Parts: sequence; C-alpha cells; structure tokens
Amino acid sequence: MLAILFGAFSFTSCSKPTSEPTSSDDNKTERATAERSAPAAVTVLIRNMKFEPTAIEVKKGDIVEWKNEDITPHTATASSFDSGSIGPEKSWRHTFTEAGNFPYICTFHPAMKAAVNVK
Amino acid sequence: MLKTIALTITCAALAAFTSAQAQSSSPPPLNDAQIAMIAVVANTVDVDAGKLAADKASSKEVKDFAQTMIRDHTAVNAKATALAKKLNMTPEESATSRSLKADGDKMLAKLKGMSGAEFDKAYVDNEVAYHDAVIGVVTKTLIPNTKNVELKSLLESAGPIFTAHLEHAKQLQKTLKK
Repeated sequence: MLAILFGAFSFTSCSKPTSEPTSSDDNKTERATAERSAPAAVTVLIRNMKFEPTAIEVKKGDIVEWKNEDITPHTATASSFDSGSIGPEKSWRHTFTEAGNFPYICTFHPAMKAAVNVK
Repeated sequence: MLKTIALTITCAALAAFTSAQAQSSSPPPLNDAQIAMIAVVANTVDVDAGKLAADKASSKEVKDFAQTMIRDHTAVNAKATALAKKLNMTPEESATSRSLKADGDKMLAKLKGMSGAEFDKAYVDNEVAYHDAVIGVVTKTLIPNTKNVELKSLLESAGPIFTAHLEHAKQLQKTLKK
C-alpha cells in the first residue's frame, strides 16, 4: 500500500513545484504513523483459574479483551479498571489510554494475579 | 476443640465416601447417576455453608470467600444438572451422598451456634478440611469410576476450581490464626 502511494506521489512530484514533494512526504508520514498506531486488540484468556498470559505488553490506545473460558465467573480488577463479574463464556474489553504497569487480580479468586504493561 | 470437631465430621464424611468402596463384601461400584448425585450434594453442602457465612462472618475477607463459594459451587452444580438432563440421567442417592448431606447438616448446625471470630475460624477450618477431602474423593474415586466422558470431563474441570478454593481457604486460615 505504501509502495503504491510512494509510486503515485513520485509520479506527481516530477512536474510539481519543489514544495509539493514535502507535503506528499508529510502525507506519507501521517498515513504511516496512523497505520503504526492503529489500536490493537489483545486477548487474555481466563482458563483453569488462571489469566493466560499473566504478563502482556500493549501500546497506549490498545484494547485488551478478557475472555472467560471457565465455568465460574471471574473479574479483572486493578486500581484503575474493574470488569465487574465476567460470566462464563463472556468477555470484557478495556482500552488502555495511559502508559504504565497495571497489576490486576480476580477479586473472586485473589490468587489469580497478572499485569498489563502499557508503553 | 472446634477444629477437632470440624475435622472429625469431615473425616467421617471422607470415611463414608471411601467405605462404600472398601467393604469386603464388594458392593457394586458407584454408577454415573450416583457419582452425579455425590457431586451435586458436595457442591450444595458448600453453597449452604457459604450462605450462612456470607451472613454471619465478621471478617470481610471471610464473607468474600463465602460469596465465591456460593458463586462457584452453584455454577458447577448448574453444569452438572444441565449435563444430567442432557444425558437423561436422574442423579441417584447412595449411602455416600446421604452421609455427605447428613454431615454437612451437622456442620451447619454447629456453625449456627457460633458467632464472631470463633465462627470465622470454625467456618474456614472446615472449608480447608472439606475441600481437601472433596478433592481427594473426586480425584481418587469419582473420576476413575465415571463412565460417561462428558461427566468425567466436568469433574476434571472442577479440579482447578476446588484447588483454588483450598488455597484461598488456607490463606485465610493463616490470617485468622493471629
């Protein structure tokens, strides 16, 4: 996609004033940045009384989805987020808008511990 | 003394579980319908104790634990009864399930007569002993004797749940010792 854009801009830049390639370069950079920072959705499975994986790393703006594959309800609870009860076969999503390390637990089963690291 | 009572009652229940298998006259092994009933009764006993503790316990941590017992054992029972219905299986009473129910009722009566820190400790001590006993029976007696693969799979999935409960109860026991 970038290659096509680059080709298109190169073609048009030949007959344009010198300021044009700069703005087309800016357009390319903006598009590339937008693509690089498009939010990703990361899944944490809740299975056999564990969070899988226990440690994940995401970018600011990414979404984490907790999927409960157990037959009992669970929670994903930190000081800055709380899913409330996530029933069996249900999911809960949270968007991480701030950087930092966010340890969390299941409040129903406090031995279940994990963390989300946000860059 | 209370711990001794809790352990005695639970050991009696465990003995009832295993005696059905150990008698020299070789009673018929448990069938799936009886295994399903034992599982249902075992869960119900803990839900009932949990309901009492959710109301009576003085420590917030013990109340929270009790709520988890209600939530989790109700969920396992819902799965067990749904599966029995699907398999057209009517859970069947046995000497073992009756003994388990009777011992659960005895513990409930004992706990009802207690209050405050004494109640909290007796409830948690019993939960440790009870889950330990149930894990043993499920692993050594129920799962190996279950014929239906779905029922066996459900019992196997209950393992990590009961183990988590046991560990949680043991942690609580440590805090209540103070």
